[in-house]
This record gives sequence, structure tokens and C-alpha cells, in this order.
Amino acid sequence: MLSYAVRRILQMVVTLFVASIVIYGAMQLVPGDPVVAMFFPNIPSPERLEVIREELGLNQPFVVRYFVWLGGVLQGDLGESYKQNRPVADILARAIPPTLELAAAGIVVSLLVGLVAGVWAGITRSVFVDNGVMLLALLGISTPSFWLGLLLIMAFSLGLGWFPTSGVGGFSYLVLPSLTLGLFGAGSIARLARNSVMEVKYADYVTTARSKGLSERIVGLRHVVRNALIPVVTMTGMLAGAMLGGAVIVETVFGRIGVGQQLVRAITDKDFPLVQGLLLFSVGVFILVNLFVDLSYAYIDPRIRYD
Amino acid sequence: MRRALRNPRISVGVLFLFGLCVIAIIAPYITPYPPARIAPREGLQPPSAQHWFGTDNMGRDVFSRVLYGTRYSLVLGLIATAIAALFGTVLGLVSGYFGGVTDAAIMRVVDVGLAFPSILLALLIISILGPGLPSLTVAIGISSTPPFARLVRGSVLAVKEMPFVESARALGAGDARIVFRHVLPEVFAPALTMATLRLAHAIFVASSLSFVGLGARPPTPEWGALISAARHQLRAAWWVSTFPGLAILLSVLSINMLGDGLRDVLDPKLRGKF
Repeated sequence: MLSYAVRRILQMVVTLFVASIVIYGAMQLVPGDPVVAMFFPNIPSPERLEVIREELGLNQPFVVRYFVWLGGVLQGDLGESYKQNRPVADILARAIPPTLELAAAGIVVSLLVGLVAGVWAGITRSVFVDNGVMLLALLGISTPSFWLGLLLIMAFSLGLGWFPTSGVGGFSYLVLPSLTLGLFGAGSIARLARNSVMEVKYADYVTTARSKGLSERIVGLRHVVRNALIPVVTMTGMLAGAMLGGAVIVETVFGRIGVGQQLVRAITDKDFPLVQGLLLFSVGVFILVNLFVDLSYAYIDPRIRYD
Repeated sequence: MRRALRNPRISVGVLFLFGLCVIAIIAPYITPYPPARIAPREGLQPPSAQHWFGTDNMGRDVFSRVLYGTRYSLVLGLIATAIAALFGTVLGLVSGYFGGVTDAAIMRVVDVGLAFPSILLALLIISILGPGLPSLTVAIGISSTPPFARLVRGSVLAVKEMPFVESARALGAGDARIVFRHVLPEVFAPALTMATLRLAHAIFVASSLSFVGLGARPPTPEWGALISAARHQLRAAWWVSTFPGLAILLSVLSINMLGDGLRDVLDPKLRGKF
């Protein structure tokens, strides 16, 4: 177990390193001059541009620039945003709390709705319930979240006036965005949980437990659900990815200035230091979450031996 | 084939996908109005006999625009999926069949792709190519390639050790013959399933990224762009944003259903795996 953990952590560091090269390298492939883009439409004289390039270190070879950038990143310096004239680290620090809040609430909604629905569909003997829940789950993963968000705004903000349409604030600001983000994840979780329960339901140890005379309730909770939920743990990694990706869309719908909306804005503005910083953060979080998922998976399910 | 069509999810899905293709092709002949026709005096009319889905703020017919939107989503989705299927299959085949250093090299690249949530990988590519429909298509295609390559490699590894491949080799068949005659047909079923699910995903992501302004832009009648343009009229006109959304939902839902059905019929073992 320990050697497995050490190996996975080393692997993660390598993946993160390669991902950072890809992210940094990608920005160098962009056609056009970033310095010109920075001042557009008031482009300074060519001599002035050359001075700025020299100041920003843009005349250095790629490898040198990469390692200078990486060195800065490791010390918390992500460079300066071209368009917002602020350090990228500042923008990121301000964007993280709303996104974190949204993602956490989204994960809670996904797990709560998804697990209850999925386990119910798996354990029930009613074909009607099973099919009904699975149809809803399919609906959940097929509904574009930006559209669902607008429908919720029309119904609950404009129609009933229960929640604000946009912005970041207390609990009331979080309800609609987290439902929008969470219902997508709930669909995938419900599908997985249901299939997982179905697989376990007829396992030998479940029959044994039942023949020992244990009540259906105990068998259901202790033998079926507990074992069925093990594969669901791996879904948490996928869920984190869905939240990070979904935040890009949902934050735009609800006017929350988080990591996702800043990323869209940075790409539109061709603000490359900001794009780099935001992507690096998101991918880093995603890789880290997946590492934790893998490690906890090995811990939870003793049948799995990694050598 | 007959067995597949008896599965209700497959038959409904195929029927719907076929319907979408037909609408995309004959859109000019069935739309009641040209999609770009502006009629300022008929702005923001609710659904009626003249305008089934109502009109937008410039008096354009929402029904006609939604029908035209089918073209963008379908073409983009099919091209993106074709890119992913082609590159994914080639990479997966080479990696799985030849193994060794080639395999290790290809799989490391694929792993880096998988280290990005797929929307973020698409965004990375869009930031290189700049926003717009063509770059969105390429971005979604490339971001769908790593899972494809991973899947095909897995299937190849399983097939490679089968007795019939061994015997083909014993009979003196070359690599090319073995790959095309024996390995590829076995890989086809899971690849087809994944391609279907990826098509649904591509349409889903394309409309989402068009909505935030990184793909098709208004006045293009792409579904996501239609909804984006209608955002500021939610209070005055629910129909302008609701109908294009329904079109996305129905398309994605039916293609997903087709994918689910294919997976159950072609390869029950894959249930719940992707």
C-alpha cells in the first residue's frame, strides 16, 4: 500500500509537470504577437515594442522562458494579466472562493440526488421505478446546463422571485447555480450506482446473508449498498472534472466571477498569462483529486492489491 | 442487425438521428421563413400559427432558425467525432498491437490528455486557434481522442492473444493483414458505441461553448448561439431561448439513448464503464 501510494504520488508529479509544459507550450503556438495584442488597439512604435519584449523576457528561448515561468509558479508568481493589469495570482485568489463554493455545493447535490435515485432504482423490484429513474438520469446527462440554468432563472427568479438571478453572495445566490451544476452530475452518479447495485444484488455473499435470516433492510444496507458504493468512489474523480468544466458554463449563466468565467474571458481577450494560470490551477486540482480517489479506493477495498 | 433494431432504444435513437439528418439536408425547403429574415414590426411575438416557435427581438422566425441550427450541430458533431475516431483508432491500434516503446510513448501522451477534464482540453486548443466554429470542431475532436485511443488499445490487447490471431500468424499472415482482417473487426463494436456517445457529447459541448461565446457567434443560427442571444429577453420572451434548448436536449438525449442501446447489445460487459 505504501509503495503504491509513493508511486502514484511520483506519477502525479510527472503528469503535472508534463501538463504544465503542454499548457505553457500551447500559448507559444498562438499565432500573432502577444505584445501587440496586449496594447491593442493603441499599438506602440516598433522600438517601444522591442523594449517591452526585452523587459518581459519574451526574447529568450522557449526552454529558458518555461523554466523562469515554472520557477515563478512554484513561488506563487503566475505573471501579470495583459488585460486586467493585475497579477494573475490575485485574480486567481479572488476567483477560487466562488468556484469552490459552487463546485462543493454541486458535488453535494450530485451525490445526494444521484445516490438516492440510483440505489433506489437498483434495489427496487418495480420495473416501473427502475425505468423511470433511469430515464430521468438520462435526461439529466442530456440537458445542457446553460439552458437548464436559464429555465430555472425564468421559473424561480423572474417568475416566483425566490432567488436572485445572478451574482455571488449568501445561500440564496448558490441555490440555482448548484442545482444546475449538480443535476448533470446526479445523472451520471445515478446510472453508475444503479448498475453497481444490480451487480452486487445477486452476489453469493448476499444470498448467504439472506439465508442466515437477516432482514431485507440489513441485507440491503449492509451487504448490497456498502459494496455497491465502492466503484462509485472512483466516480468522484470524474465528478470533480465535471464540476470544473461545468463551472465554465454555469458561472457565465449566473454571472459568478469564478475560475470558469475568468477563463472564458481570458480566452476571448487573448490574455495568455491568465489562461495559463487558470488552466494550470484547474488541471492541478483535477489531478490531485484523482490521486486522492485512487489512494482511498485502494484503502476502502482491501480486495484490490496494487503491485 | 435485426436483433439490434428490436431494442427500443436503438430503434428510437436511429429514427431520431435519421430525422435530424433529413432536417439538416432539406432545411431550406421546409422552413416557413428564411432564417435571417428580419421583420422589426413582428418582434418578440409569442408562438402562433404563423410563427410556431414565436419570433425573436428582430422579428426573425425562431422555428426556421432552430431547423437551420440542426446543420451546425450535426456537421460539427460528426466531423469532431470522425476526427476523434480516426486518430483514436489509429493511435490505439498502433499502441496495442506493436506494444513496447511505441506503446509506452503513445500512452504517455494519451495520459496527459486524460489529465485534463475534456472541456478544459477543448478550451486549451481554442485558446491556440482562437474562438470560432472551425476551431471549436477541431478542439472537440482532439479532446475526444484520448479516451478513444485508450478504449481501442484495450480491445486490441484483448484480441491480440486470441487463438484465431495466433493461427492467422502461424499461417503466415503479415501484420497489415492481421490488423485489418482480424483485429479491426473485433475493435469495431466498442468503437462504434463510443463514437455514438461521443457524438452526443460533442453536440452538448459545442452548444455550451457557443453559448459562452467561444464557438458560433450570433447571428449564426447555431443552437447555443441562439440561446446566448436570447439571454437578455428571458422576462419578455421565454420562447426564444426555450425552443433551441429543447432541440439540443432532444438530439443529445436520443443519440445517448442509441449509444446506451448499442452498448447493451454489442458489448454488455461495458455497462457503466463509460
